[in-house]
Amino acid sequence: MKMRRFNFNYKTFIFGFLALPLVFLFVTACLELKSVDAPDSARAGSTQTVTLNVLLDTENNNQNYKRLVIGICAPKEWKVAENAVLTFDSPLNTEPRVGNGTMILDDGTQDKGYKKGRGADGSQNGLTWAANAEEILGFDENYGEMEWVMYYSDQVDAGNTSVEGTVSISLKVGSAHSAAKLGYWVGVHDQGFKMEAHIDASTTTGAPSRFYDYEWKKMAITGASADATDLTGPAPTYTATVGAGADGYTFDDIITIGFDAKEGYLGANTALYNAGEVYMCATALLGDGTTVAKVDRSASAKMTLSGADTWSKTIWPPAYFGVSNQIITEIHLNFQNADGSIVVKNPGYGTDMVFGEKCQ
Amino acid sequence: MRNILFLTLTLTLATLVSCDEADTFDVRQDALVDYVTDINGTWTLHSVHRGGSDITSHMPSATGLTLQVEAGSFTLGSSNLPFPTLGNARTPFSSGSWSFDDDYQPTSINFTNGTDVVVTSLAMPLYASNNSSMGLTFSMGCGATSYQYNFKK
Repeated sequence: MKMRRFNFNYKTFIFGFLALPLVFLFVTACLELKSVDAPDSARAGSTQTVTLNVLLDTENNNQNYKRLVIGICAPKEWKVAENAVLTFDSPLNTEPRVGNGTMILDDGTQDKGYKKGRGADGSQNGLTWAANAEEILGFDENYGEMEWVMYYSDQVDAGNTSVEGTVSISLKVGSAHSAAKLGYWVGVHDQGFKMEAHIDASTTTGAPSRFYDYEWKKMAITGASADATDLTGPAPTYTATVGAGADGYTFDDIITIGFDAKEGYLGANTALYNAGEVYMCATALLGDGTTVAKVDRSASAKMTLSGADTWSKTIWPPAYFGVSNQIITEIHLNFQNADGSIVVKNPGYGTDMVFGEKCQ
Repeated sequence: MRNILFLTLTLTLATLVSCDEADTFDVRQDALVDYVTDINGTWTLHSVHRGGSDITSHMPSATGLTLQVEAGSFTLGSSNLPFPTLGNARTPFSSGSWSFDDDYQPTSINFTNGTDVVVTSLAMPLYASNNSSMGLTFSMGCGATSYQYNFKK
């Protein structure tokens, strides 16, 4: 039997001995987003300040060289990377790695260790921080047109403490959307999106993982453009339109509903292309949550051919739905042929096309 | 010399003859009196404009709207069209009383149900009597979207 000889490598031993404290320094830290102070509504074109109140708990492990990482999920149209300014502040004041300063935009180059994103297992996975955020957190209720933009701090000496700090985010609000659900993520560069339960001693038990926390918060945008979309609602469609002129409409206006049978899924024709008759099947959602449906394909629901495979119908919604003393909040539409054997809904979604009020 | 004197005398006479008394006009006594504008009667909607565009043909039932106006009261006929008094911003009402902002040279009509007052602009001047056309301009939902209803009697 051949005996395996144990070779003592003193270089390995010394390196391991020296690296041991570093392992402790980098693997533990608990983060929690205690609160997000963000306006519920903001005017398009304005600059808004969002404050994240962050709790960092080092879990009794003296820690240096931490980089706080912040993620913001906002509409692409807002161009957060160009317009936002992030600063962080905390009682940590150990020179030269103080716990305050301006945060740096992650440009996604991954040319340094802390710029390499870490996935759910906490290891570098070749993806950027933003790509990891998109993969793991997604876009919540937003139907799309959102992006994650990431920032990191300078190195911070967190020491052996539990400390609360703030991250101040200056955001410029765009005009292309009437509402969006904004996302805020906080983590540390050496753990990323690592999912791990809290330890008993931790004070940050409100976060999904020991190493990160996030929150979604809806913001309504006033003064948005007339064709602005609500990102928290269904995806917009070109198959149907609702309008009452250049300045928008409410459901107290005389509105004109348009249906383009040529605008189906990915630009293909709809099933009502070349149809001889098209009927509008509409359901009104009222302020008290009830609905009124007018889906009987009666004569009053018949649309008028207004162009090449385009149809229109002009109605005053309160009278059309027989609603009085109630506010109509949404109208849900699909379009059918005379016998109802062909139904066209929102292409790619299979649901009614939903329209809310748009008024500048 | 005698010719010059004769010529001068002739021209002077001609000048005097050409002068006449200023024209005089008979002015009816009642023309100097302001009369209250009268719109009593039944008005029928003739055309509907939204944001300056005529959308009458898009709403086949549009011309069915009637507005019955009597001394101080009005009644709106049933229709599928909005009217300033029917918006959801207040309790809608289709009858009530009305008044001009100026009985003699009105620019707007105030419709009221006794609680709410809805001010509606007149799109064209109204005469004291014998009015056969009346235009109302107003907004309903989105404030920047304006409507003009043209009524005929």
